Amino acid sequence: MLYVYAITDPGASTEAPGIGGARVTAVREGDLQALVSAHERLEPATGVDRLWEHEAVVEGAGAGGAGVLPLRLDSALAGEDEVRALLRERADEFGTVLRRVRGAAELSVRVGLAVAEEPAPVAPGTGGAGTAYMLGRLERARRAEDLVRAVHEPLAELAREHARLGPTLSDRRGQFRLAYLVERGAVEPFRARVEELAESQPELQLTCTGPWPPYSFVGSAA
Amino acid sequence: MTAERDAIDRSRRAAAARRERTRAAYDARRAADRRRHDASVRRARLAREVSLVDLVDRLLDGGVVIHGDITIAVADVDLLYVGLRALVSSVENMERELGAGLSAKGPALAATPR
Repeated sequence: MLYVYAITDPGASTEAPGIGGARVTAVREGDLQALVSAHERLEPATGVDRLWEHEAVVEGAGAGGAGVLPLRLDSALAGEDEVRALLRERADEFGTVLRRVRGAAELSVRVGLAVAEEPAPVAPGTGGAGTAYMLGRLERARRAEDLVRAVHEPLAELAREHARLGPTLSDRRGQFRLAYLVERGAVEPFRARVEELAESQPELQLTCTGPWPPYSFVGSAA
Repeated sequence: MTAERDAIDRSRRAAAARRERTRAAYDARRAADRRRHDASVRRARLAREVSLVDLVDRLLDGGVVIHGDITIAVADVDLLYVGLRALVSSVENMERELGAGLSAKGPALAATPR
């Protein structure tokens, strides 16, 4: 069975060992290649080691500037024929996405809103307690949107593409997840702008991580 | 004679008080340094753990999906999330301790799925 880490430009390689220390090799088909490692059988991932091993291969493949499409964790195919078939059948899609992400990295920005804690101002005499509660919620939601926009717009200017990510199991309430596809050369200016925004908007908690491989920009929905 | 002794006593007491103040200021500075150091260690740990949460989100929710293929024991992703939830709550506790407002309680603000 072949564990598949990434689909890349031909020639991209990595020094990093694969999952469980396995050797990583390339399967080429047309203008694409897949980075894979062979396994007799694959144990399910139960800890975080598998995540970092997968990540190390993907990061290594992109270190030299090649375009890299990271695969979701635990993607495996029966053998080389199946890998070649995948590269052939989805060649157009993979080629298009590679052009979009080549030379760029993903930066993650989490925006936490302290403002949601505050009682919202409600005009007196507008209804009962239920109405006041609903108005308060609406007002908070509107202010939250304004605050997120105030962070997002200056960051989007520095990015090739951006995405507002949907909720995941790790999500916390009152937190927004934003992702930016940023030219490699613009990563430092991007981080600097996050710092500036964090200083000028003390009511927000901004957490920026990355550069990551473009995980949030390679899905068919992206 | 008595006035002279009083004056000497006064100046000794003043000197002792000065020494006491100096030591208190020194101790306060040391304590503040230690607090700053502890906070920066906790912040570094927080940054590492937030990175892990971001990685988990990306690896399980992002990336190219190859449909209809053999994926290993998808059910076991649940096990991964048991560990992840523990991690997230430890991150939340740390943020509270550091006075960060990350885990604001409020309306469930629907993030727009792509």
